[in-house]
Amino acid sequence: MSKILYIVGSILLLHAGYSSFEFHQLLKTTHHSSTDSGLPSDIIIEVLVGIVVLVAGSLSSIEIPNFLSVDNEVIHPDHKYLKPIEMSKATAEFEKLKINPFAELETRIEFIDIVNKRKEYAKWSGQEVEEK
Amino acid sequence: MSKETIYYGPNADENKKKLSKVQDVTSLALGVGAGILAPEPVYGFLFYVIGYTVSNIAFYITCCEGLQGRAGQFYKSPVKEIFVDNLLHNIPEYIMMWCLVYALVK
Repeated sequence: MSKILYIVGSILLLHAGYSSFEFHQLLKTTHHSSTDSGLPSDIIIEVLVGIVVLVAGSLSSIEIPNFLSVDNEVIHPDHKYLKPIEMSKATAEFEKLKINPFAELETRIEFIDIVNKRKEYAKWSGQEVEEK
Repeated sequence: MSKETIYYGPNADENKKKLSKVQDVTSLALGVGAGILAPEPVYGFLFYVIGYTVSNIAFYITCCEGLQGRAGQFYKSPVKEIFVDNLLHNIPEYIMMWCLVYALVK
């Protein structure tokens, strides 16, 4: 959507620019000074519409796309354009996605308690066996 | 003792980048517009300030959900960051496009 708006806005501004160029050339050939007569109102309107379309394109280009969580579910973001900056709200979004931005730090080898992890695994696998 | 709010840096940076992207596009588009319309210098700067503020209001209402009072969720001081901080920062882009397009059109 944003690309279409960018293209339309650029075309409008290009067209308005060329029209303005032709208008000034015409004034030069007819020996009028450009300060006497302003630009035709259609060029002015075209420029203003072009600017509005370009700004709308830039606003729609920052939209956040939907996420795909670890469980293969499509998750819609809470806010369409920006992300909350408060730590509690930001981490709530990560929990929804079931990812942890600090996983890289928390799972460094030096910080892993291997003995404890093995105990946990033994307990877990034991339960699995019992369930079966 | 007041409770201190803890911010998540990467999201704050991302929001700032998005804001500056919108403001960059706005100031370039306004520069092209000013080059085509060829206003007097004083009106040119007035055109910039008005156009820039209008686009910031659009950003504040649509992206920050400012009418629902949620702008504080996305920026530490929303009004200052959106409307004031980058006003002078984007003037060179505006003047560059203004001069370029003016020279092409005239």
